[in-house]
Amino acid sequence: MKWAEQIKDKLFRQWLLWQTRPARIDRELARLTADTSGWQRGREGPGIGRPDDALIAQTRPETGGVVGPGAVTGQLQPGSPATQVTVAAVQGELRLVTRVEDYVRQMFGYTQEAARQGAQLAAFPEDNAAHLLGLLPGIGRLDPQQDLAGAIKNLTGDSVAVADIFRYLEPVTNQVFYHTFSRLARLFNLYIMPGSVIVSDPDEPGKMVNQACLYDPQGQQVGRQTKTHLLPLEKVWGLSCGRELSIYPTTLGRVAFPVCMDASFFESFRILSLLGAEIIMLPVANPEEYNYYKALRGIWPRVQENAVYGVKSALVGKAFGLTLTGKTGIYGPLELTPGRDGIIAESESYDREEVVVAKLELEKLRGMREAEEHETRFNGDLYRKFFPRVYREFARENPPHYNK
Amino acid sequence: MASVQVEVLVWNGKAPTAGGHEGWQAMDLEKKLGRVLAVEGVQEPAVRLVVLPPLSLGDEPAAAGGEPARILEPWCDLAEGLGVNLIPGSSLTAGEKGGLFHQAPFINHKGQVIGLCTQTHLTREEADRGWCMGEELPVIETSFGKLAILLNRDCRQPEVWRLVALAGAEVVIALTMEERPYFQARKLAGSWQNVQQNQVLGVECAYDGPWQDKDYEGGASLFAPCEMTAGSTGCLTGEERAGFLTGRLDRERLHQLRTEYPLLAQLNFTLYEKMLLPLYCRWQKELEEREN
Repeated sequence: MKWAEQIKDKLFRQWLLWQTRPARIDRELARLTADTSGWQRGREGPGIGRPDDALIAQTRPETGGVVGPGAVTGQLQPGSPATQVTVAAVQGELRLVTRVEDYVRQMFGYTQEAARQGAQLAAFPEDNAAHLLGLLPGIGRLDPQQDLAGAIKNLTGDSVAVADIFRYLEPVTNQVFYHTFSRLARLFNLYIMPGSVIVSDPDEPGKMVNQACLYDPQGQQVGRQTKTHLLPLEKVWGLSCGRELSIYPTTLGRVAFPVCMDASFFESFRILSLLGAEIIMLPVANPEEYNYYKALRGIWPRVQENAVYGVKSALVGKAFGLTLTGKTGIYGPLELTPGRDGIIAESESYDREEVVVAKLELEKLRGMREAEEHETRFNGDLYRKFFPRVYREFARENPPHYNK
Repeated sequence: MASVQVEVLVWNGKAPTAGGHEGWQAMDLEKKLGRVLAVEGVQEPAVRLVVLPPLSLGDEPAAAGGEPARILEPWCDLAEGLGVNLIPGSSLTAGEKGGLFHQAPFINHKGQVIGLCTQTHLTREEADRGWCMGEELPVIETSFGKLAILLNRDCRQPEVWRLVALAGAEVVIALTMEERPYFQARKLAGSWQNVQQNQVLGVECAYDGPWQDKDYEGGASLFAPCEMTAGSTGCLTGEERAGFLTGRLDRERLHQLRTEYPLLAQLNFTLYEKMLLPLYCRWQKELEEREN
């Protein structure tokens, strides 16, 4: 009877793919762009929630698409390095959805608010497609008090790992996540780092990884980054970690987007900084009660070590027995922040949805980095002599996460 | 077997000869420590560690050869006499091939110098003064566990903290020289965050006062991973006693935390060998090209 189960699973997935087809996403986006009340209905303030007229005019509901360039000002010509960039960091709430339109509406709202405040680049949280797990009918029967792995085990026995759930849903997740953010980037004429999703490792078939990506204002995906340091929880889920870090040159500057735990260790940001990154975005989903000092241990010190700008986007909410907390924020070197505290802008709450926007002074950052080059920062001889040895000895005694 | 708890006494005041260049005298310390240790009701700990700020041994360069050992003699006598482990700050020592090395010794409670740490990263200004970068980062086996001493710029260099942590350091002593103003955010960006990303116990002892043409600021602080401290602040509470900040470092609790959550086991060594080490080489090559 196993083949019968497999056919049932495949048919169900086909049904999910149909339920989340791009045409439905486009239709919802068209409806939202035409709806002047928008995401922030009822909030005060001129223009809030009103999509740009120029954008509405360019929407083609019948084809489900949006054509032509948007009307957001301040876009730079390729090749001219930006001196100032306005960035938005989304503090998004994890809400399980049963209809794809609910997910699209939530992401549209965040993007619209970022664009309304003049953002040229918007960053979203880690696991920003976990909302789509709500499409699985059995998910509602999971024990809310138990962690995801335990709840699935209770429901299905030992045979199903969390990674299997993500693997099963992957075609649906990919369809919704990539299509939605490609459209939003074009619609609002923004660079968007839509956060991360759990997908198959393109380099190692069969393995699942946590991967973020980047869209340009034309809606093209121009970069991907796999998380290189996993939480122990993710190892339990059956995920693997990445082995490379990349930076992406854009018209706004050189950007990178490691994921969450990658910021717990100086090495990740050091690599990116030495590769030339200027703005480093960090999608996070932190499964613990909020504490100011514990939360300070990620991107903030990394920004101080490397003279870069940091943009942190946190996923908040409660799901699968996890409480996700975190303050979304935009950070800079102490010398480049008004209060000399390294904070340019930060969300007011750690458990509610917000969009934080700030201007980054890239010219000042470049000046600071140039001045630092005159300092002797590294001791290459020392590193050559000791790092390979201590790395190997420590790794031998404490195998890295992905080898366990 | 190494003791699980150590009481630390960290100088938390102005440099005694701020502006001058003589540093501390062993007898000054003996008097001050005598006052601290004589406080009634102070429980006798198994192990004590006394830490003085950078340049407490003076800034007059000691010649290479036997002179540094001779300078340390009264300090060794003091450590043995009081039965304390002692880091008497730092001094400058002339290298055999020229140049100056900024170094801090570790003297055990038997009066023996069992470790000597050298600053390995320099500011441009220090390099221009003729200081040289150390080429070793020793981790010292003490009666209360493995210990490393970092000086000046090294205290802000995450590479140094990582190297000593991976080499087994449990306690890291940061002898800092931070230009005024040394405010909270700078402290968090320095030793505090390096303690957090390496799961070690940290002791910061700062030079406070003018030296040469600069004014330095700071005091004493005791750091531990957030999980080990009240309110998860990452700062251990201490008590002021006659100019010293005193507190206890709990290695047993540290080991327990490392077992519960082995942070450094999450490091991705394959990534670092593939990307980070070549980038350092490239950086150095570019620096040499620029300077030539």
